[in-house]
Amino acid sequence: MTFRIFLFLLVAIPAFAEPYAAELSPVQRDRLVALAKPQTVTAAFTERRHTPLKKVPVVVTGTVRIDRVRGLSLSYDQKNAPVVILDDRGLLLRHADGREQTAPPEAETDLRLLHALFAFDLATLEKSYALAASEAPDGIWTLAFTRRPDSAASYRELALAGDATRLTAITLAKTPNLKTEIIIGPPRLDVPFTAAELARYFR
Amino acid sequence: MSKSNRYVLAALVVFVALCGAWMLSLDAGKHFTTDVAELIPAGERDPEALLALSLVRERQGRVVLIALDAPAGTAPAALAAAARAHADTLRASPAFTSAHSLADQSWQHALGRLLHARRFDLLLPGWLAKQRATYAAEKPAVPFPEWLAARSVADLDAHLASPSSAATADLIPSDPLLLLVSLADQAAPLAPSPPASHDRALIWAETKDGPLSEAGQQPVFDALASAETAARVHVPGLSSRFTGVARFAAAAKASTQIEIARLNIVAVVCVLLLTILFLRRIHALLHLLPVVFISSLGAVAVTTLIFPRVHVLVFVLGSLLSGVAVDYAFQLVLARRENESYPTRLRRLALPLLGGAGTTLAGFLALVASELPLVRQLGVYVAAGLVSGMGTTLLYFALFPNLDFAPRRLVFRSALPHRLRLPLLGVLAAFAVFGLTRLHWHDDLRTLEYPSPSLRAEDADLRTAFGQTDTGSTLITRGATYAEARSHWQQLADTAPAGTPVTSIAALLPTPEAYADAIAPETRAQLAAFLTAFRASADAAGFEADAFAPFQRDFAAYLNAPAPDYETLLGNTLADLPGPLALLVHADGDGVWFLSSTPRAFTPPASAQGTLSLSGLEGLNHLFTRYRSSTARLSLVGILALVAMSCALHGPRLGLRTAALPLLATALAFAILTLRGEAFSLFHLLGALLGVCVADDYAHFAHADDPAHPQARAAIRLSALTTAASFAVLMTSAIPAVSALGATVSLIVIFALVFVETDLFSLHGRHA
Repeated sequence: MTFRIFLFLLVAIPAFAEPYAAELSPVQRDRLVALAKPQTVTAAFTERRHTPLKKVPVVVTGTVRIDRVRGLSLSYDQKNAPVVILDDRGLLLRHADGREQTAPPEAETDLRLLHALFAFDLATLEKSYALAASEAPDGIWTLAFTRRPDSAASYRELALAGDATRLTAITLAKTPNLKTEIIIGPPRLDVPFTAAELARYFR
Repeated sequence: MSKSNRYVLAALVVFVALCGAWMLSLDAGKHFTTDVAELIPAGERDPEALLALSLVRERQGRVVLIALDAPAGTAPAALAAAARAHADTLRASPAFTSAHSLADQSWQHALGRLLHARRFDLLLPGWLAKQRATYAAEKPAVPFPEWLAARSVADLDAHLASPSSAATADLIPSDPLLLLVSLADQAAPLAPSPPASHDRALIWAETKDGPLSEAGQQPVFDALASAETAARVHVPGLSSRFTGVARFAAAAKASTQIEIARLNIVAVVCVLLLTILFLRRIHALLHLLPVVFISSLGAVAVTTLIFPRVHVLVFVLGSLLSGVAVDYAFQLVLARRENESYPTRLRRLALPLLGGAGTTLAGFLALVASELPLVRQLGVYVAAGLVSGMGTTLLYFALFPNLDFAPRRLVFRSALPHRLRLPLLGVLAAFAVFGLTRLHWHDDLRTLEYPSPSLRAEDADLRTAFGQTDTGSTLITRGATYAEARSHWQQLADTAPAGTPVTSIAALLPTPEAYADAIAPETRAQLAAFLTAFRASADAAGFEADAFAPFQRDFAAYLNAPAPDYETLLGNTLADLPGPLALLVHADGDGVWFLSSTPRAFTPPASAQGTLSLSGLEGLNHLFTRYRSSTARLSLVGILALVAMSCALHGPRLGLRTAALPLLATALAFAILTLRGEAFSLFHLLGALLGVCVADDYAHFAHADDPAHPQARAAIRLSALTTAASFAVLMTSAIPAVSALGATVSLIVIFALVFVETDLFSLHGRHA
């Protein structure tokens, strides 16, 4: 009987376990829960695109909007740049002239994982990425997700970085010299979007 | 049997043997057709008609759209495997040439590879032409190659700052001029991705044979059934639906066959019932079968001898032949008198028989001059059937000179008093004129089709699932060569209003002018200088030295290679188009056409040479208006021949009265149908011609009427009622054209019978 109970626990405990149970401390986990809590987030961002083509990264700026129900939206300050919408239906580019482009089906895996990253959906990320969490004495923290060998994701590394309870940077890297760093400014939390903003920046 | 009867019998047997042998030698699949499109002449001079036909007959008609519906909760991987198995099974089948799951983007990748490999041949000329135009407008001080290099690098920088650049990172090293990137907007609508669905997979397939052929139908349906079985291995609860021209064609064929059988059976039953009312010796009616059989055999044999392909509608419309053939037999046998020899009877009836048959023959022979194959075939069919029917009647009943159908004695005198005839005629004529003034025509090719609303609904549902809509326009642009067709398409694209982009494979091809400029030696020299300047500009803008090594290698090779001839380049490129894209262009000995679409309705202006707006078969209705007008002219010729023949046979007064009977009957039938709100078409007109000829027979037969020998009147009565009943049965047809024909003929025949019975035209007994 004892052996059976032991066997049950052996099988059942991992199933009930939190994602990245070993990698994340309760403090870090609580921080992520807190980050995921606001229903809306609006923040300015600076994007640094590193490409093997250029000696210096291409830098663009814009505003990120997150709605926990509708997903994430990036609007760039660059003239005529499309609005990028990432939600549970995938990626959509909405151009200034009203045209809409969706990502090809083969991008679905990556988009699902990026959506999970922005939604702090650790359970989804855990299937494809290993996690290394680090914490500096000055309150700077980093969560580095490294692609597992059997994963179909094309991003080799994803990273979230923050300062105490604030998310300050996201990194999406396919190779060391093909990566995007998004530096996020101070956010405005739980300020409801207007109907016009919802129509323009989400679907 | 007398010697003369042996000759008669031999003549009949030889005729049947010859016709039978010819019929047995025919390949039914090759000689008979149910294809509505074949009702339009192959040599049709209307370019839209020709193009619409070629669309159906060429690869567009061979496309089959398939939806696999999985039960709710099916795993996406299982549905994807089912779709793959389905498509693989179709591809392995000899009935299909290709099949693609829409979730499988391999053919779109194939297009990408094709365009990438030929990007300098296909895309550089258009890009260069735009840059030249900007250079000319800006009038910069720097030479063109240096200006072009700086501008290219600036455009590339702007692109890299755009979020779209995330998707093109792999492409930029070989395409820093953004030839393919800037093409994406134009190419995307060519390969629309239907909305993703978790419980439905879509498959696009193309059959090997045309949808109107036997090989393009049942083998296709069998392959689809096998593919569904293969898909069910992965998703047991899966169901499939499909649509395509083949399905409509097969359904129309099956329905038409059932319709023909049903109409014929009901008509025969009606004829038998009526005959029982008038004749006591029903078994003697078996003698009519050889007459009907031989006249029909002769009609089919002669028609197939003259026309290589005959539409089955000819047999539906020509079904009156059995009625007419029987009419002559009734007239001949029922007019029998005691102690009168067969030759004497023939002499007595010669004029009515010749008059009736001759005028009908003249009327239908006039149709042979029609440009519409259906009308021509109908003319030959009925004319040949009449001649063989009349010949058979005269010969066959010579073998049975004493045959007696034993008509019942129905004493029914209904002749109008003479004083009432003229006023009544005046009233009827006035009513007919009133009705005819309100007549309106509506020509619709769809009236020839067997309606299949459930198939149409399923077709619409599937096309919507595939992202096809009816809100825009489909345009076709033609040219004798690729160069001419591409130039015509450019005219079209230039005239399209803003917000109505014209999507076509032609947009991916250079114009002849731009191509000629791009391959000119001086341009090649400029481009060589540009390549050097581009390296310098890129370096100055902070690009890595080897960032564009693949581009520099390929571009240098392009500049050093001989440029292909424009027609060769386009021919080779378009021949390699993968998947559904191959259907958007067609080239053969007659020229080239591109298919385009617009998201909103758009009628190309006259200045867009060589482009027509296609609106499906419905768009060909104007052709039917033309055919109807030409048939109306031929019908008038036929009626004039009928009047002339009547006058020649009976003299002007009696001849005109004889001819007036069918004409008034027809006018009254038209008036009644008009006042009932019926819109008239070609098939009412054909029905009128048939009705005039049949009614004219009765007018001629009425001359032989003799109160002392009421059998002749019984013959007319029986003929008219059986004919009216046969055509009234056609009114129940689901094919609107057949129904219209039935209504017209039956009404005309009933009016003709009433006129004969009342002797309104004072025709009775003149030659009795």
